[in-house]
Amino acid sequence: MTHFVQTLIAAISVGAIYSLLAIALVVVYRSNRTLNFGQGEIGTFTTFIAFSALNRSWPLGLAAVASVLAGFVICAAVYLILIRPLRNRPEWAVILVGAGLYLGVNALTGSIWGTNPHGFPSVFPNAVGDYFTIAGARVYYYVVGDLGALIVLTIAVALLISKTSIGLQMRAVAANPGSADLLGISTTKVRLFSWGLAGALGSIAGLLTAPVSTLSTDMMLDVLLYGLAAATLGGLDSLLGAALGGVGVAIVTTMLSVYVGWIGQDLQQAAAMVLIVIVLVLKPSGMFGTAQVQRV
Amino acid sequence: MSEPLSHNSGRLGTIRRYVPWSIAIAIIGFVIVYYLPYVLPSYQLVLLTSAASAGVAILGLNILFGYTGQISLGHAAFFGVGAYGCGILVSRYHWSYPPAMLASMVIAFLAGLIVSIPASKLRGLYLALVTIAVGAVFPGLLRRFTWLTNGDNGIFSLQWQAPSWTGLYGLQGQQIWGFWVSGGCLVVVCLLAHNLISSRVGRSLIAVRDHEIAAAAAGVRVIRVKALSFAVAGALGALGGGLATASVGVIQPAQFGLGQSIELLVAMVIGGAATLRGSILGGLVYVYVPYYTSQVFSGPISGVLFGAAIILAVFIAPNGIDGLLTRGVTYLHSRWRSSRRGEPPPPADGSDRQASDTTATRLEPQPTPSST
Repeated sequence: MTHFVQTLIAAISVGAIYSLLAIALVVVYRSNRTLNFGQGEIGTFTTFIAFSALNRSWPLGLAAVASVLAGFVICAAVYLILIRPLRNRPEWAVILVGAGLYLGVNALTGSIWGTNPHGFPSVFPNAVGDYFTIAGARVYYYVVGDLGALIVLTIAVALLISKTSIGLQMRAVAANPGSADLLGISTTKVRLFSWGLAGALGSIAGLLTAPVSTLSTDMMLDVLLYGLAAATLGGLDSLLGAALGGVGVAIVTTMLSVYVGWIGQDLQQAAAMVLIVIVLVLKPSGMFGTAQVQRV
Repeated sequence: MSEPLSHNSGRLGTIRRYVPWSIAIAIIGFVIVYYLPYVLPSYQLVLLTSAASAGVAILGLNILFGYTGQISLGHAAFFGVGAYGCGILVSRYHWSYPPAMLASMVIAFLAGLIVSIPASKLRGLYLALVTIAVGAVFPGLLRRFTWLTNGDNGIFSLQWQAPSWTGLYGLQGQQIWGFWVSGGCLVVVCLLAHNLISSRVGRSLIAVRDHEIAAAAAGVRVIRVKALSFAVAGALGALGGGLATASVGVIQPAQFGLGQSIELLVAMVIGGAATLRGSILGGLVYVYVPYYTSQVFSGPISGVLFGAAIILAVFIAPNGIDGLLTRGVTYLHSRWRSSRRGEPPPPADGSDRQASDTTATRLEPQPTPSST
């Protein structure tokens, strides 16, 4: 029982990070009908910015805020400079740009900060004794922190979308960009904000990943893949689906890897990838997404 | 996808087949491959061997993405099937390389057919997601089946030593032999690919890329075309992987992951999508960019260059280097012809292109509705 709870706790804590990245991917999808494959790497980059700030004796809170702001600005700039000019080009152009960001930002991070792993402090109390026990399993404070961050941010984004003016505009652009434009909504500003928001969420995901898995240039590669699986499972245009999907994918794949010996740790990520294929074949709109209808 | 990848028009690079030309170019290719080892230093020969094997794999990707329009971010998986197929058959079961490469190609052909089952229903972003999934699964499979693949330790000492009838021996002999095999395969594959593209099958690939529904209405069996495309891409990717293994001699799971898939795609687009020359250029880019950047800089600068290059290519050179060269040569040729006739030179932006110019490889693009 203890082992099961321990596994579950570990899955939830890492799933919360996957969910955050999935929400970032979904925010971009809702605004642009495309995915930013470089989202994870930009999160790595901004976390390294926080690392540099810490090395200059900034307090952790300030470094974290700087990192999140950097994520906002960088992703908004990426939209303005790289994505928006391609709006009349076919889909693969943006996908190739995303692939270029994936490679380029990863290599840029390694070129600037080196490829060695570093330690990174957690925003939550993270000493050896900072845990409480449930059913014999240790629940470290950062686990609660990660899950709490996910819940708080999901509610915040949901409130943003449903209660604010910018959120209404985001919903309009997500539903029908052409009509939104005709109604006087500045789709460019809405999309700038959406990409910036996604960048900020990606930065937070990076800040939460680094203490657990050490800060290195490759730390978000797996997170991106699981985030894609989560977003696909939940539905690419569904924020709730992304939030639930991340934790869900983490729990399912962790349980499979621990309790199905054949799968083991080597195939844990493969299980998530197979999940992507199954979802796309059976129900491409995912659990909570809206089905796309195409006029021929 | 409703817009073709390139707007290659007219005189150079038309997909028409003139058999004597094909044979002549193939013979020239074989002669070049034969004599290059005698004029090049051995480190260049090794690099060119890698470029040739990468070129074969990139040609497969080109058939899939450049000609059939199916974006694939998992091509390194096919490359790895060939590499590990040969590696396992040669090291564990003591096959010789030629049957091992053939067997790996057959396995990859079947794998491509299997991948096309989910992939042919999907388009654009969803297709990219599925291919990412395939590309990301592959290293995990390699690590899982350690009894077969030796897991993360990899397999070593797989170089294909020059057979005795060539009279070559030692390290240099192995390098020369490796280059002959890779270069020779590249020439043969280019010839076969050219024949494929200029045939009815090739036109159906292009039709599926340019306007799938119109192609279906015209009688093209779209699912079969996509399946064939994935299968051929798989087989060629595996051939490339086998050739790479035969010359480099070391394979490890980390060499066949998502990053390498993206690098192959980037190299293909930079070299030139939907052209055979572009695939060869792509192979050269894939090998020489990392090599020269590692000579000058330490650290992973080559990734920055690849990323920047693909972004630049999307913006200013969607047809890649081959597209730029073709445009340049076409422009110079038109200038030369008009100067012979005493006319003013043609405008540099191609605005005088007539509807009667044969655009053998593609139609004019339909404007896509703004979605970004």
